[in-house]
Amino acid sequence: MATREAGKKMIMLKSPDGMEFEVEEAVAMESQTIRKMIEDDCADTAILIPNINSKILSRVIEYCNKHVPTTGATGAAASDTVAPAALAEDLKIWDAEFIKVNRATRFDLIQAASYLNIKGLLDLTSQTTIDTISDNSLEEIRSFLSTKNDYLPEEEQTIRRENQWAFQ
Amino acid sequence: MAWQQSKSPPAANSSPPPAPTTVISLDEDLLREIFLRLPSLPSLVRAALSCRTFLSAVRSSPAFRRSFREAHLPPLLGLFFDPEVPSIPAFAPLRRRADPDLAAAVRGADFFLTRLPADDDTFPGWAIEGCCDGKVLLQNCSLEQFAVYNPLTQALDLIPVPPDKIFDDSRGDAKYVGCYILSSEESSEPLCLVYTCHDKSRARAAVFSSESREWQIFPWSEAVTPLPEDEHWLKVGTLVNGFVYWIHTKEAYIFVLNTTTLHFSQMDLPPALVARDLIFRVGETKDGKPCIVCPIDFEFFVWVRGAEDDGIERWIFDQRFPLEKIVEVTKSTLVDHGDLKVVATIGGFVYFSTMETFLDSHKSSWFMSLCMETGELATLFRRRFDGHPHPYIMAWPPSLIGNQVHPQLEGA
Repeated sequence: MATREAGKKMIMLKSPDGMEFEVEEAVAMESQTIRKMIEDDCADTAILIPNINSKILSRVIEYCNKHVPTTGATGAAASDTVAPAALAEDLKIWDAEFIKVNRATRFDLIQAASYLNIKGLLDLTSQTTIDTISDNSLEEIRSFLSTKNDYLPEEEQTIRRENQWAFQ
Repeated sequence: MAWQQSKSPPAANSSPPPAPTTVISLDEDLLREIFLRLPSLPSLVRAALSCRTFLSAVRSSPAFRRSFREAHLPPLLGLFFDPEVPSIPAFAPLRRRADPDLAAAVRGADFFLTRLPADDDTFPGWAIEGCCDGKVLLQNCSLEQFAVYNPLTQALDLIPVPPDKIFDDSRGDAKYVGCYILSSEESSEPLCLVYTCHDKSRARAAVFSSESREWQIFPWSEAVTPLPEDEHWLKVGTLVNGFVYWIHTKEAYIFVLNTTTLHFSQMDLPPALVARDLIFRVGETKDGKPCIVCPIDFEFFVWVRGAEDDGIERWIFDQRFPLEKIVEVTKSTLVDHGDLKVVATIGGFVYFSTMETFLDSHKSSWFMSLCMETGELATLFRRRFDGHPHPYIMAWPPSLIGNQVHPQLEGA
């Protein structure tokens, strides 16, 4: 196992497009999927993260870096002086900036958060998606979610008849 | 989960550039995970209807339906207020600024009941019998019809009242005591109504099915014991999970109809409620059990029907909710509120009101809800209490429930 600083275990994450990311074990363990692998001792060499390209993986690592608890053995000195409420507020602002990405990237992040089982990131990405579709007409929802009206005419007729209010 | 360290990364030059990820490329589980975060059933309906993939993700999973219900408040859209005299009932909508989709459902539904027929425009003559699964059951005495109407889908079914022979062989005068929609969430099932009447000691039911479109009349029940002293011996009944419960007018017992077997029986009351002249009805807990929520002063006392160690079903005292603290919300006083009145207990939520209007007919009462699981109070609205209130809770639209009605959508 690689070590960079005393007390900080490092883990190598590899994306399918061949990029390698060295991250602190604590950061990688923000992902429950990776945590389980480490705990089950099947992560002594580099871990290949299938289906998540380097662009997305680097964003996920960025998220985990920010969200890894800063207390305990690896705690940053700064957190000792910052009140928890202020820290939470700071994270919220950071999250809001972090999620300002295009739709495709957001959906990639949802997929990555789900696969890597990172609850905070899944909550953030899903909630952002939900916020974009609330109070919109079906046409607008379709455009926000990049979907198409793919109903057959008779299906559409049935659905409209039963849910007129939703189409207004 | 496919997690293989040995799997070699694809050669960069042999694979075409991947298509951008769209929400469609997320798998159904992930879509449902996202949908679970929608604020209410109306917002889920809008999102789910936008394309076949979404609709199919919702339709294909009864488990999702359960989780969604579990995670959200019941989609109450408002309360009907049915005046004593037959006319078109009024509807008081729930306003929730934070949920524009709920507002869209209120706006788009026909809560003015404009599709109900009438032979007299000034006196349409429809009275609400009850609301169940998004449907409103109304009766019109001059047209001799029942109407089952869903204001959201605007589906209307008109049903004639049962033939007069239901009153044949009665002991004394026979009286109507209520009609109920036998609900089934699976909308593929035919609509069923059960009509009930009683004479001076017995009761009788008739069942209408939308398949046969005929009333089937069942025999008179055994006479109750002791024989009722009064010809009106039952209060308004409530349907809970396939059983109709009527409280005896002097709180001696509960009279019960099993709507599956059409068998009537007598059930004990919690001893604390016998002959106390208190006002209560049987309601429904979150998991569909019968319960009684009885207001005494500013406190709710709750009994739930269940079996203790001996396996015998009885009313078990469950909990009490002191509600004096409502004045913190209403910024009023208990003297002004007068008292509390339970409107209905549905799915573990108690809908109730204060009694200002009964003390001064110009004053508004507060309408509120209490979640029996969490004890959480919510204010619905303030309004004069000027008719029988019936909470209207939106049902899952048939399009979002997998069944045989839309086989063409099954493969979507």
